Amino acid sequence: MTRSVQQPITKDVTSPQELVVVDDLHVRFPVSQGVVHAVRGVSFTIGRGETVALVGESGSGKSTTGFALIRRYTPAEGTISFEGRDITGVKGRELRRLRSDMQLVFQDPYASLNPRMRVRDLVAEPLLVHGRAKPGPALDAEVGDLLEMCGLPRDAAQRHPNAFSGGERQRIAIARALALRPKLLVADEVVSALDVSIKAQIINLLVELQRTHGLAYLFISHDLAVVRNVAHRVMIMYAGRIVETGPTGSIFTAPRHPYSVALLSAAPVADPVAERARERVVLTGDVPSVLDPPAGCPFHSRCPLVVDRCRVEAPPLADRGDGHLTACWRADEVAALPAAHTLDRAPEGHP
Amino acid sequence: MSVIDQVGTEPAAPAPPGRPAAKRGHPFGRYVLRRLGSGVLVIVLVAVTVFVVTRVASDPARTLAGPEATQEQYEAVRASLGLDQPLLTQFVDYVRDLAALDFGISYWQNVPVSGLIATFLPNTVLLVVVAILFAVLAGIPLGIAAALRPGSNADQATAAFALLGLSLPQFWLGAMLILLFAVTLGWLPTSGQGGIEHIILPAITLGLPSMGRIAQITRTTMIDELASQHILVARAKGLGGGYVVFRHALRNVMVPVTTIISFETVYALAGYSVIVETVFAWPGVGALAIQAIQRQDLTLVQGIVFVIAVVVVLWNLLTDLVYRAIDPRIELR
Amino acid sequence: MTATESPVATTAVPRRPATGWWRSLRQDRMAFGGAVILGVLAVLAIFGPLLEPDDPNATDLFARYAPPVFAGGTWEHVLGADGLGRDVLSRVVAGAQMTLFIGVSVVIISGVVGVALGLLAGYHGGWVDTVIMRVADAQLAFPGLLLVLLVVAFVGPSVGVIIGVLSLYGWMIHARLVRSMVLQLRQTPAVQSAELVGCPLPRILVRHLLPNLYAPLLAQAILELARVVLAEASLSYLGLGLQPPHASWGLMIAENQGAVRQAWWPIVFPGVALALTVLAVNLVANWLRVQTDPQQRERRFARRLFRTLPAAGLSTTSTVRVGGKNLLEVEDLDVRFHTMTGEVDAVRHASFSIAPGETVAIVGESGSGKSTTGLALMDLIGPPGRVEHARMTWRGEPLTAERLRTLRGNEIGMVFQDPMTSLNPLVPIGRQVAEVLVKHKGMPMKDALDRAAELFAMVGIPSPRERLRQLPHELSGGLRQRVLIAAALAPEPALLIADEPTTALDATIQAQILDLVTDLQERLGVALLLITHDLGVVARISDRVIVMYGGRIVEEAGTFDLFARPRHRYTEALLRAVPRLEDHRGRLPTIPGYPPGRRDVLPGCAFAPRCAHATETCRTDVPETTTDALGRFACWHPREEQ
Repeated sequence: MTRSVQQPITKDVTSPQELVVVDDLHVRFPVSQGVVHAVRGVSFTIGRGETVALVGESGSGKSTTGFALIRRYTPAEGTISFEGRDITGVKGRELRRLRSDMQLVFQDPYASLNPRMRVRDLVAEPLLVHGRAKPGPALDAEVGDLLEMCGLPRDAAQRHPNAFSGGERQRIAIARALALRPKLLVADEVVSALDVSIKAQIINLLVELQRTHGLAYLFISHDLAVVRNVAHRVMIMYAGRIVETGPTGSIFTAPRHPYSVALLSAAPVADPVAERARERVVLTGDVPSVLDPPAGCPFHSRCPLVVDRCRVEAPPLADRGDGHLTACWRADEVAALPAAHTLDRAPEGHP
Repeated sequence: MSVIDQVGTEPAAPAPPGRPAAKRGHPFGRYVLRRLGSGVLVIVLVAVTVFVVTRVASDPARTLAGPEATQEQYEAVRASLGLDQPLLTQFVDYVRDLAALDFGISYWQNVPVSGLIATFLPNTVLLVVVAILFAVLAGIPLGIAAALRPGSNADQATAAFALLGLSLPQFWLGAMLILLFAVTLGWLPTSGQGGIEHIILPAITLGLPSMGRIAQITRTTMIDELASQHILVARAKGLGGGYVVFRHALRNVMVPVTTIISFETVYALAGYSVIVETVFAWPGVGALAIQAIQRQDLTLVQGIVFVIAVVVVLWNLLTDLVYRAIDPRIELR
Repeated sequence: MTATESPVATTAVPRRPATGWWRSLRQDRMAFGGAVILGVLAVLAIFGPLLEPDDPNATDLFARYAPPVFAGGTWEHVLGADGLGRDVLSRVVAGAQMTLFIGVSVVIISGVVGVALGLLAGYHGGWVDTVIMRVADAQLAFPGLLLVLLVVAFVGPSVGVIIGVLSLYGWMIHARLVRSMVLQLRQTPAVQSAELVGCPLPRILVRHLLPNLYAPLLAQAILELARVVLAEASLSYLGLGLQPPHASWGLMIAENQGAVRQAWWPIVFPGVALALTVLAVNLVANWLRVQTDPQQRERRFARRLFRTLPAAGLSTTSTVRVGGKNLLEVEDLDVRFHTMTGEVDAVRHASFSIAPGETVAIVGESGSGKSTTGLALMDLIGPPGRVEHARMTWRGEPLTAERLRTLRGNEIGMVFQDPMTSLNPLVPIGRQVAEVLVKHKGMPMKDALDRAAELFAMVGIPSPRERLRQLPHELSGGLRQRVLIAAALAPEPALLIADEPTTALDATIQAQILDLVTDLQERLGVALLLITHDLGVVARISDRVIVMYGGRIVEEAGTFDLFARPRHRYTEALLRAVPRLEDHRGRLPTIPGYPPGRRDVLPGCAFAPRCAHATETCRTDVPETTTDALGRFACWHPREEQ
């Protein structure tokens, strides 16, 4: 059964649909050589029960954005609103209360679970810490429910994380993150470290949980194939800025930013016929250093379509209609590139 | 095969290197200044500590005067030591003298302290240098040899030897060595300074524990290094075993080992030399310090401790610079 | 409402019982001896007064310098008597008491203070950290023992002062260790997760930080004990430690050293006691350090085991197909890992060949054995792994271990996964390429460096000449990987083995590197063995594909054939379960369960537990390999073409 084409979510800020509103977010870190501008003016929304994917390579600022959203980092500029409340500067007890609304799941299932605690303690910890439950049979039952919800047997509670494989551990991490029934889950590369045949399991789990509990996801990933199968909307980041955003289908079948085209070109397709027939854009050069961001468009140093204007003036995110925004002076020409249309043909000959 | 779309009017600019190269010049000078600054801080702290210990926390006048002294005699001694002045005045005088490198007169020997230190310090330095040389020249090869055959009998023997070396109390070891080589066998002199034969036993006694520790660290670091990814890559390149060990692994091992060598030198200089010099009656500042302490000779003690502190600080600074030369990745902070 | 599939239970192999600490201690005889000595010491210290044969302070002028019983003395003084006629044995026992009391006190005090300050500095950071560390650094730079002597001498050598001063000297070491560990742990996702969940600071310290700290702390504390024992003895020796009539080993030696020619026993026995104590402590500390490092334990265990096993490795007996046209032929490769919890067959009966110039991909997930196969081809498997058995030919000639050694890095090159750790951080990158040419082509270094610059240009490194002197940390991941490719291709090999060469790189860089590799391959006529889990990369560049699962080769075919007409059920399921870039589906097809871990050995087909078509036969009998025009596969119920 195929899902219908993704519906665009309205951008109306006052709409009760919006769970998260991020406006002009800037995150900076001082380092010994200067200041790293990890995130430079990022704005987006996440609706209830919606999956928004944040895509980019290293140095794009996607993980930093996710961490800033759950207030692990403090923004240097900009605002973050959750359910209409401004949470940009909250501290102390208010911040702790926020934790029960937003949680994060990490990339490495081998490093994110304390090996000296039992699974039961790991999953119960959020509940104990926030005073939602006391040790006892009720808590154990709740832990069991959470484990089952994530596809694990109830008796897994007695064991230590070391007894489980990567995919199982990620399920434990998800159960732990869901204990407080948050409204938003930030998934930071949660399937990147898993085997190919396991990724699908976890993706299905996340989609199922979203359907049942109305969870919203900020899905951070570099893996475009995974993103295509999970997200309603996609945001592509480069050097701390969003360069393109829109409904998933539109982004994949009709990208309008040279970087998006290059990124899609770079992702190999598991079909030798299609893969070898594709038109591709291959970039030269390296991902940029965010220590000293150049003026103008963040992408101009590697862009195959660069012109003088790009070096001087940073293009704004402009709406091309149907909720698809692009930050490029030559977006229309990009849309005409053959490499931008290799993914809208039906694949042939799969079993 | 892929078709590369290159639509554009200009070729892409050459990519900048991923990370900026380590800067030199100006930040380096600042780094040296900063290290000197903290060194000065240390010396100041040492001076203050010595002051507090010798004048505030104890009463040397009582000891010098003796238990049977009358109140008058005691007061006289106090006055002669300058201890009857208010504390602040004492401290100011003390600091002023130190800054001028005027250490005063030794009560015990009745000669200027600086002169005594100038006579005895070189002997200590000589002893420490020889001892550390021995420790390094013996310890590093032992550590490497053990790391190349971990778990073997040779490795276990080396480990045992190193362990023994750093477990034996130096005063006892010294006494045993004297017993064996000087008294029983008569090959070497029992004490004092003179030709080469006089320095052998003291240097071995002083250096043996350091040798043990250096061997241990070398071994552990080398084993870890040989298991690292870049050594695997070096082997995958078909490079020979000896080349891999000595031209690749050793370079990385020397970084932590240098730190240890530096530590050992400081320990030897500012600590263990005291014991070894006493056992072998070696005329260095360590033995001098002990005797000064036993006689509560304020000025001599102050002087020795201060000078040693300065030497240690300078040595640490030197080591930091060498360290940075070996491993340019270290950030100048 | 429950979601998705539950994990499938896999049959566990009978393992060796896990080696507990007690058992491990017994196996290490030296450490065990040390522990015994420490035990004896503790007993002496606690029950001392009951065990002393004589009053340690009782002088007896008639027994001055009485020799020990085995040197002509009496049983009244088993180890002899000292200058004042006091029984040496009793004084040694009494000395144990004081020594241990002081030692343990100092370790506890400095430990508690050091750990507390280290936790504070490491976790709080900021000015607290700066202040504490500055103080610690300053103190470390103090002229150590000298100051201790100073303090004790001037303030008075009471037991309290001794303990106080020695504690003051020990806390920085604990603080530094704890601080650096806390800083490290704070970066780990586990601790970050605890913070994000909302755990308050005390809980984080106690439940998340401390349990991971106690092992190295213990080792450190034990070493401290050794240091304190020696320090106290030295102080007493110099007359600045414990004063008479307290019994201290150091004091005993000092008191009697003048008469050493006359009576050796009053200084030898306390010295031996001292040496044994410190030695024992060091032995136990060493053992503890290895104990808490599981990797070292495994290697040590494996090395010991290998010495007892019969010889293994490449065999040159009865090689099949000698004189074939293939570049490399591998037959019956078996690699086994001998771990403390059991034997693991990482690769089982793998056979395949590579023709000149072709690109072969080995595809598999974790536990498939693909990376191990690559390493085995280069004879780079180390403890706890071992090539149990293999037959290989190179250009038609049987391959011996010695011949393989000459091929390595020369006619067969290898590129690894992680460019960040694959280069020596302290050697200029130009050298790291040039040394290959020096070794294999006998070029002088200067010429080799020139050639290295050319190679840099060939692999697309900008400003090649200037880069020769750079160190790896000055380059990005993509550039480092290019350097590694240059080093592998420098001697113009016939075969390049690439183990996940682009997995650690960004997507756009990955595309560049793949294009580079295929381009160079065409130009230089190099055969490529690509080891990867990424089916897209396989689809893009390979001619033939070998699929591995659970250590065995389960299918092999030409690329187009494999993707269009897979035969093995795993291949079929894998192709369906891969998330697709080019379309999206409602609910993704999955393979239930998980790939077998290294420890799971199953009779029959390794894929049976997860296979929808498995029968009893599949679970009991290892499938035989069927070969046909398209390739080969090992499946009892392969996918049929309609």
